[in-house]
Amino acid sequence: MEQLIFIAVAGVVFGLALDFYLMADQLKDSNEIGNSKCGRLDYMVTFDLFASKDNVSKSLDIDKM
Amino acid sequence: MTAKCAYCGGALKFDADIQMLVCKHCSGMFPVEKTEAEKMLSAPPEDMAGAADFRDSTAIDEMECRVYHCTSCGAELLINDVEAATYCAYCGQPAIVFDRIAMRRRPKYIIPFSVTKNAALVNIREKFLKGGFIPKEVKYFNPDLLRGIYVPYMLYDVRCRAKQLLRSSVPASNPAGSATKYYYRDAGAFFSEIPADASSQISNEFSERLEPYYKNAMVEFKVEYLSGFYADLEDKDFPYLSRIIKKRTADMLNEQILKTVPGNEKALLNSKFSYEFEKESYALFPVWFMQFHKDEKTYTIMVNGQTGKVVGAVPTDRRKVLLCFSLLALCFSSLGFSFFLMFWLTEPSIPIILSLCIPVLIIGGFRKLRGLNTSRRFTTGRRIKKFVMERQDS
Repeated sequence: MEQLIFIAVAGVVFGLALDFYLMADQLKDSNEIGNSKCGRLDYMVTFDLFASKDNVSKSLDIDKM
Repeated sequence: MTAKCAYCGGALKFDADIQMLVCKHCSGMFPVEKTEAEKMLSAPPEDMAGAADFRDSTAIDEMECRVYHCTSCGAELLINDVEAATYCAYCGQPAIVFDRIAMRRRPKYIIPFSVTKNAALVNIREKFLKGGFIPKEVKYFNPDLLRGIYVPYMLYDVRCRAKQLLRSSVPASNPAGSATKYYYRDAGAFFSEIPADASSQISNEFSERLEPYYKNAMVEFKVEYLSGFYADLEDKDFPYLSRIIKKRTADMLNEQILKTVPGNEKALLNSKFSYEFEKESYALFPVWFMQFHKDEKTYTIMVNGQTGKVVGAVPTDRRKVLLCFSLLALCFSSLGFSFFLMFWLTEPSIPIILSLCIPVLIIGGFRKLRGLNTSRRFTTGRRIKKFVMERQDS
């Protein structure tokens, strides 16, 4: 019986937590306008990979590379 | 500094719709290139690329700004438009007198306003009307409180190089088994004219959200573009701006380097960056500022004057939020109660797993609210309020 009460309370709390999350999401969507930082990569003209090594040691000293 | 009509001598105003200067007295229209004021200006600055010190002060061109002095409150005003000089933007008194001509750094580029005041209003209203939790009085705001301001930006050409040690993990659920691997990358990138907001009045977080500004519309600065608008002058120094640029370029380079690493869960363990600044240009970018008041707070909404992108956070209709939350709480808690009991009798592991999700949902909800509050803090910040209030003439 105690277990059943506990599970029922957990179900109610889960419902409230889900409600809280969805409301916060809706509120952010509704009242925060233009929060994205778009077009960030437009400024990068070139990208060069000078050196690439796979499966290196975790303790690799990048200053010595 | 003020463009005047060749026919009647009236002040000209830049019209974003037709991209020409218009006299409001005789309706004369003039292209920006052919005004008298342009002849008074010194030659445009040379590119600073290739110079030993890219910020050599001798290469920085200057321009004249009229400084006015208010005899009522003692404020000093830098004014580009003769119409705005008829009152003090600080105290609202008409008691201002011409003081002197000051030399200030002349912008090299400008993106003229291409979004008109009406278009900016339509964009704001459209966004407000979409918001389900925005109070009615905010949705139908007073459209008079809209001000066009050119915001100073510094554009930098930067070379960035990074040596990095990265980790990539394949999750345990993968059929191949879990594995953690380490990678070394040495990569570089060149960034062209990356902007940094050079006005201390607007937060970087806010000004970055206004981006992107498209460089194809950027033209050589002509003072006539300022007619009818306010222009702010740059007041952030290079050490401060370079920190912003370094962070932005590092973030972008990290993003690119991570793409070269295989696996799903990627993490940066150690990195070493080096930067080389090659060129600096001073530019003015257009922004519309709209202010409204709600519950004794002033909110400032910004609109990109080139693209029309709206940025800001608005107050919440608390009654509507409470009503929605209560109704949904009733539904979700009843459903949760029923499903948990039902699953407990058939599949007990499901309620246990779902119960473990409760803290995740609560933390996720608080994170979203914190993001909204951060945006609202920028929108209601005293500094940005003061910045626009000083430029309100109505």
